[in-house]
Amino acid sequence: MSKTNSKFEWNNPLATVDTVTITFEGETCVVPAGVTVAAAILGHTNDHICKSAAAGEKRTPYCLMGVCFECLVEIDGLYNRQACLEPVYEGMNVKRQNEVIDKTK
Amino acid sequence: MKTKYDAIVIGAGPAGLACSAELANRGLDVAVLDEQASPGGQIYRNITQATPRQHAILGSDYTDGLEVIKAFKEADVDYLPLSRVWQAEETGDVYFSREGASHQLKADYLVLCTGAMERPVPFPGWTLPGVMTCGGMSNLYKDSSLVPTEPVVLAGSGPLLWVVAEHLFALNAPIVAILDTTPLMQVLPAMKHMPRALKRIGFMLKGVKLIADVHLTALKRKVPIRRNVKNLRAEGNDQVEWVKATCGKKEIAYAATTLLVNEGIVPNTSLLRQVGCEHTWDPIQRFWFPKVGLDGRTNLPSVFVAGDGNFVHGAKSAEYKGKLTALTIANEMRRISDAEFEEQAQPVRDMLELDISPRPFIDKMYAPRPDLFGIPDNTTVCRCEGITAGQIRDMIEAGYTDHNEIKAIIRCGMGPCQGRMCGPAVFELIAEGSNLEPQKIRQHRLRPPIKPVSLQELANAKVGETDES
Amino acid sequence: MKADVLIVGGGIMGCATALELARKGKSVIIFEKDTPGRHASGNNSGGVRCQGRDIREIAIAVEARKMWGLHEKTILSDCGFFVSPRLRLAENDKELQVLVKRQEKLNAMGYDHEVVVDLAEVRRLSPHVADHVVGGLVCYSDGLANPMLTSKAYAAAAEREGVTILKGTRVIEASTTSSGFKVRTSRDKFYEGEMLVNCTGAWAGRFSAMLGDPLPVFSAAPTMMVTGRMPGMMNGTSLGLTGRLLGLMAAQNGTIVVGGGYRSPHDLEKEKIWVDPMQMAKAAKIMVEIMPGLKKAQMMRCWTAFEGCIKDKVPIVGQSIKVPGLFHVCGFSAHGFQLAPMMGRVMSQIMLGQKPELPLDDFRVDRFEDQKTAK
Repeated sequence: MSKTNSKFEWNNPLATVDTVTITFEGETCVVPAGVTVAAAILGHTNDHICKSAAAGEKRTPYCLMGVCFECLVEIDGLYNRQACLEPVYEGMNVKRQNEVIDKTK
Repeated sequence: MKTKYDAIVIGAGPAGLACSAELANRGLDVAVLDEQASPGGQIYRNITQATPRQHAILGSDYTDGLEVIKAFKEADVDYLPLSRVWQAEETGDVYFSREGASHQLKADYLVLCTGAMERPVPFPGWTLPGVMTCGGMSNLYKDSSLVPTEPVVLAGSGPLLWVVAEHLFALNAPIVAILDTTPLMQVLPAMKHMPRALKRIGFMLKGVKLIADVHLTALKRKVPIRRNVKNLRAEGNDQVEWVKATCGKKEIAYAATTLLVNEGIVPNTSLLRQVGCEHTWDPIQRFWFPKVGLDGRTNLPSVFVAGDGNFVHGAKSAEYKGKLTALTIANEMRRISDAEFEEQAQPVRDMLELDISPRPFIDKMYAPRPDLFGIPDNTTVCRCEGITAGQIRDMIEAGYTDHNEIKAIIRCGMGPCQGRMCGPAVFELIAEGSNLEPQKIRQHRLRPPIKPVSLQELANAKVGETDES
Repeated sequence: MKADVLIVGGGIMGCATALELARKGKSVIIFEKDTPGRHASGNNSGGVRCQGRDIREIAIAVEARKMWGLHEKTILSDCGFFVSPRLRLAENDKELQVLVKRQEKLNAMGYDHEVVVDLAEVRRLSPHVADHVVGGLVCYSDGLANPMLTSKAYAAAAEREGVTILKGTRVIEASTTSSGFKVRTSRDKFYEGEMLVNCTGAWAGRFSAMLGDPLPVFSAAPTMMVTGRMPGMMNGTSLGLTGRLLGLMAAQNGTIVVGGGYRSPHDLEKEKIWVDPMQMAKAAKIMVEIMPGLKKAQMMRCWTAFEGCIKDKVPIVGQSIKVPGLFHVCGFSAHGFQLAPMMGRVMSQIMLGQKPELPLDDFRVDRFEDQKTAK
């Protein structure tokens, strides 16, 4: 599946461009080559990309230019990647982070 | 990779590109560090790979960037994309992450071209998935050709709102409303800056035409454009479902899953503040900008600042500022004589002066409205730590007038964004709740690393023996 | 303007001393060049720690710990204090022997707050420490507090007792008079008092030199960092090491405050510190060895503050030998935060001419001269 429940679409139809396949939370996403990880996820699902550090609220990217830190993901085992700044590559494995939240708050 | 350069330029937007190319062409050893995967900054994001369709939609304001990219590519510059600078020092040391490792470089001169960002303004529901900035939407299209297919509302005040509306209309995105939050009262005071603005009549007409075109398209597609909008809020469970506001005395509501906001552009000064550049308060646009001459000099002899990070003037001006900064450094390093410097700098200064002539009008016209930060008490201000306006007001009422102290006690600004999102709001709340003049209020300090660094990465950095002095 | 006592420095030592003096009827003015808590008092790592202290400080630290539990009553703020046992790890048998000896020594002195624990107890307290750890020494009653909140709470309590805190007011000149002291401030005003207290932290040596009583206090900028949230990782237990430099404080929100004496270059005159990230890289290296799960942690922020240090790492507390009426409370060498409540109390006692409830001989200003003569 290259698209589940996203409210966005690729303006260059997938059939007309080179694609790469990545995994987000175990789901396969086929996306145009060269797009950012944030775009790849937004183009795939309306679900959240990460949770806020303190309260664990669901978030999606706000600024898409590297300043809001609302798109932090784990990419191939590396933490705290800003999805809006990372281009996708074939076989990339993306996971949400901050899924475990601070219980004491 | 070399470890020592004559100059390191941070940021590959128009200022950084122009500056580094100019420096390299004067024979300096230059490295450019940039967060993105390809050069262009926010304005020319992804320009080197953009499709003809993207160029057509984005128009000449985007395509014009190819020129500065070309000059950059022809120059002998060490370009390091995907580099996250997390600390810089006036000694010329720069620390950054790249490919999962920490690196350190050193230079005689640092040129910080960190550009601008959209003014973050908290409002009820702004943390809901589906709320993003107009510039963010623009970036999604520029770098990924992503376009909304479900109802979108645009809200805010400033040129970018209209630019993005135009693009989305051209892409047939389902815009359901445009909410202009500019107070009608602001048009008249701005008019006194009109004569100067008219020095660039073409530019001004282009702006007027853009807004007129958007209005025309909106009329054809029966998309309401509301003026004088207040009390914007987003509502929904897991994502935006409703966008609500007041328009005059009327309550308005639109069903939408995406809300795009823009309340102006402010310099992105995180790195500048971390390195120790002094800043000044601009009472019209209400932001802090570094004390920088047009030649790029700051209070720190080895640190220069160019582009919108200095003061928001736009892409062309950024390029001119980058060039002037390069000439200043080349002159200081005696690569060009004083006479050559004057001869080459003057035309650039003239172009810069002409380019910025409409800015006083635009700045006044789109000045942040007085109630912009009248944030309801239960609204989240610090997105990272979930701190509300009410909690911040309680601290201010208890006598705290320093964001740094407020942060140390209630963690507002303590999260990964390090106050980039809440800083301006906390500042305005302090100004509102204390009797202090804005310029007397201490700015929120930025501490290294300005972007989080993993311990694994840090542990792998090459270091000497522990120095227990 | 006149007061019984002039205190220079509105950090936690100055405010604690002022508070106790005011409660005993003295009029006090504090001169603070910035705001209370601006420097080390408000920006340290927040450790409220008895464990591992220099033997000379133990008596004061144990009394001070009792006061930390009473702050809600005494200064109307809990100071963000909570208990987080401090566990000092032994990474080999030799280090364990060091810890065993320390406990024996403390027991002989009559203290039982630090106990050697076996591996099972180490793992119960801190399940994620590395396999090579062999044991530890724990102080179950140690804790952490919010330094900024604590500094502000002490300042507010002092003000409620009638102490005047002159914020943004630097002492430019200080001199002795026939009846005590006279100071001139950066606002060009003069103040007189019978007694003068030096609570100027990193600036203690400089300030004292103004009165002809130079002190062997030097400045340092210990560098700390805080990680992102690592829920469950520390299990509420703060850690220290026996043979290496590292302190890991387990904040309640799941972040970890990292200290341990790593220092950054600084300029006291210009009040500028250049955070040296390579110092934090050293700490990170050890952290990952001690607790491999921390590989996933993020360095969120580094910060530092100016501390006043003395080569033997215990403070100078008491009356000046050269200048009668001048009192010093300084040189805490980056671990004075926990001691502050008790320091205020003993200072007020000696300044009122009473015998302090605990002996302060080990903190005498002339202890270094004794060493010289002994040699």
